Amino acid sequence: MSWHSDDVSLPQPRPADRWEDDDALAADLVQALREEDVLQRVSAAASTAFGAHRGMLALREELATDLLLLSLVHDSSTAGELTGVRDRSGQPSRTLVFEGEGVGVEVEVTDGAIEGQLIPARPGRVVLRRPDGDLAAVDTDEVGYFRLEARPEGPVRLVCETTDGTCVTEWLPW
Amino acid sequence: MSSREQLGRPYGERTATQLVAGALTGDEGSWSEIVRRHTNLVMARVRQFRLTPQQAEDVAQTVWLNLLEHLGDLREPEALPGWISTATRHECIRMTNVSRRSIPVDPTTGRLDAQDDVELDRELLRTERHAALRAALAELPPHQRELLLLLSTDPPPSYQEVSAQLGIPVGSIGPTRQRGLARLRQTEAIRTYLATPSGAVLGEGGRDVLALG
Repeated sequence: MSWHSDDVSLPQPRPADRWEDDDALAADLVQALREEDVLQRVSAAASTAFGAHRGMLALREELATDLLLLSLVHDSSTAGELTGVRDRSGQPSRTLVFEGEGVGVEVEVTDGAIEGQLIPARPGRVVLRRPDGDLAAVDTDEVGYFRLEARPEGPVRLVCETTDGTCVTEWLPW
Repeated sequence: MSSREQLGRPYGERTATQLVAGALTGDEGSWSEIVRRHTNLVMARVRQFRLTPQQAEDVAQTVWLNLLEHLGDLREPEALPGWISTATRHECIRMTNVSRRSIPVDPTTGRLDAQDDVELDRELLRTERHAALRAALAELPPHQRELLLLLSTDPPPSYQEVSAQLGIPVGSIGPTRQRGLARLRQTEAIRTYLATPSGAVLGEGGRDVLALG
């Protein structure tokens, strides 16, 4: 077990005995405190999420039609297998497809830009939204093609408005 | 007890069903309590996949955002832990795949359900243990807490640096540390933790849903 010098090797009983030792207790304390940064980020992300969700509900209230949620149905980064470690450097882009109730949107994410297409092809307007605000917005061409100069970080969604209604893609880091 | 009476209870005593109903009507306190009860689960998952703090934040935010949108569809609020565990796992796998950095992770991590359960359990135990230690530290008197916090930074400071920063003699650092650690063992947080059987985090039904992940 030498490569697991950390305390992750076997089922762990309550560490009452181990904590009798000052240095062992202090070492666990170091580990516990090291986690605090991530813990705070995880909690803060939940508050931001709540605010973003309330914003979406407010948007839904304004709409004459229902707001349709599009689910992720294809992601080239996980296509075929949800396994293995892949280096994306050999892949020029990532393709994502979102669908729901016969409509959808397909996007290709490259290093500095997002290109996409509304399905079925029709003109509209797309907004790239982060939980804390809008990143970019653009009108599509006549057949629903659009291009956004942006490299989003963290989870984002597209809000797609057409004459038929408004739909949003599920949240996802692109 | 009628549901009206129950809704007057503190958030910590409310059922998952009540909290979900509260969050759906826009009560942020209900949402915060749902998050508080499941943060250990999300933490255990991101530890399992060795994510960076930024990746962990992105995964958590994605899970919380999508959970809020699916909260109304959740037929059985008791299935929340399973939903969160599975969603977090999927986002961790996606993050691992998309990341351009080479990731020092065993490619078999989390791929087999049996192994996945063992790993997740291990990380949950560790996360519970860490939460108990942080809660215990908060119970200490300020001078002991500050010293233990400072000595726990990475890399650890020298006793001279500690002495300068906290304004205490070098000779008192060792004994204060020792008394602080002794007191830590006696805190309510640690005594409760050591007296409570582990593994209650997933709750009823959580394991079944997990198996589908």
